[in-house]
Amino acid sequence: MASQWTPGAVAALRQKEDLPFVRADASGDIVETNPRFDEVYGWQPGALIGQSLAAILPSSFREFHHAGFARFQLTESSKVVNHPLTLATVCRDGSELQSEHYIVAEKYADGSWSFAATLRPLEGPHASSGAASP
Amino acid sequence: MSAAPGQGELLAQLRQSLGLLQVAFDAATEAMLIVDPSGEVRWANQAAADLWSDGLAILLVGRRLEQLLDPIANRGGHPLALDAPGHPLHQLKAGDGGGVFELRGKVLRLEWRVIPEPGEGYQLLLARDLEPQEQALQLQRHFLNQLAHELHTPLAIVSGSLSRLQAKATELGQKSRLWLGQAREETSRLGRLITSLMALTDLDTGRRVLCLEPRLLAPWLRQWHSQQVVPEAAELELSIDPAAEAACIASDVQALEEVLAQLLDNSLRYGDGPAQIKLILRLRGDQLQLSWFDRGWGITTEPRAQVFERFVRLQEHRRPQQVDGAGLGLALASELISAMGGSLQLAPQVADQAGVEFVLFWPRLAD
Repeated sequence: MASQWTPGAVAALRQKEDLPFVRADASGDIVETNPRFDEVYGWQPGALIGQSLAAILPSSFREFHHAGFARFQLTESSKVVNHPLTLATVCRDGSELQSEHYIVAEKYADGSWSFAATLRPLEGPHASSGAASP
Repeated sequence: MSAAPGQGELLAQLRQSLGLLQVAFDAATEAMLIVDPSGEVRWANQAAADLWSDGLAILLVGRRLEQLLDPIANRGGHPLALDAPGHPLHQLKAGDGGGVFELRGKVLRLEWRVIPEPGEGYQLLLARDLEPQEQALQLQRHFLNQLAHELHTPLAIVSGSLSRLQAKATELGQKSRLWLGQAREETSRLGRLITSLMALTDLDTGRRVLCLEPRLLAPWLRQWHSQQVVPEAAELELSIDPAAEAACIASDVQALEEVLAQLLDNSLRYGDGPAQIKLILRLRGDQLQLSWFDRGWGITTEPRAQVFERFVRLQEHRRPQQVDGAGLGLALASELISAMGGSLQLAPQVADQAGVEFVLFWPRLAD
């Protein structure tokens, strides 16, 4: 499934500055959010750094997220990357916003992984329309 | 002695175990869903995702079970409304169970089980394509069902003609009267066989769906008992434990009557002299139990449970002067009880005690 891990995919996604962006390391811990993400979902800049990606997922999705993430680490394949998915995202105040996620993964030369996603809010004051593109 | 793993290493081990489990579940051909007490999907494997969400399991999380099971049809292809008694949603309220359904363009065997571990109200739903043998069996059942229905009408015509001939029996010679008697007897036996076969295969193919409604069994049974007419000198006693008076079961009146009629016919048929039948209704934990005793010939041929199989007629019950049964009655009774969520069993044989004891169980409905 090497084709899923396009070199430079994370950097390409980060450049979409108009969209909320979040990046996690190989353990699934958040290592980066952009100001747009913090603004749309109400998080203080840096508040999510070091926390699991599960922090921005509704509680009912967390078991599935952990199982899927663990599965990915074994198989290096996933069906959720490289196409838009509508999922709920948890805001700082605990509310949930339906957002279109576009997730990518990238494997570096040293064997480490990085996962990133742009999120397009589909409801709330920052809601936008139109499909995401990589 | 090696040092104990640190927290990070332990986490990595746990993650690997979790990943392996998920890989294993995703490799299964059987679709699996865990549904939480609110009726929403909490976890799904890859086969479930392939069946319901274009291969993306994460999109199943949070979906409501009724969305996934609608539209659905029974194995005969008859659509089931969400509130229909035969709909899986209705049936899974009664606990573990399963059946064959048409869903998303496939004929699937669905099974549901209560999983008490995460907490009360969680259920596991399994769905799989029918095996080739099961598909063949389904076809065979449909064929038998059609055949039984096709044979029913001409047989009724033959039977009617024989009855009209019987009315003129005095005009016939002795031999002709004997042949007529045999023809009527055999036609009658064939009629019972066809009727039982239709009833069984109607259940098999989903042509008949029981209409299950909450019912107090004790008063219904008392009324049924009062309406029975048994041969002279035969006894049919009913005893109801006070604790069973207020117990409710999910039942279909017609099916209940058919089951008891079958057991009664069985007790009257397979015994010498006037039948002595005793029924006792009791509450046993969360089940209602009806014991049906008779003092007939009993069942000793092993395995005794074969009497619930189709077309089984025990050699020990054959008498030259008596027309054989069709060998379908107890099979039908057992299927009807199962369709009501209960079971029909044989109690162990008691040494030196004549007769047989059938035990019917139904899950007691919550008050």
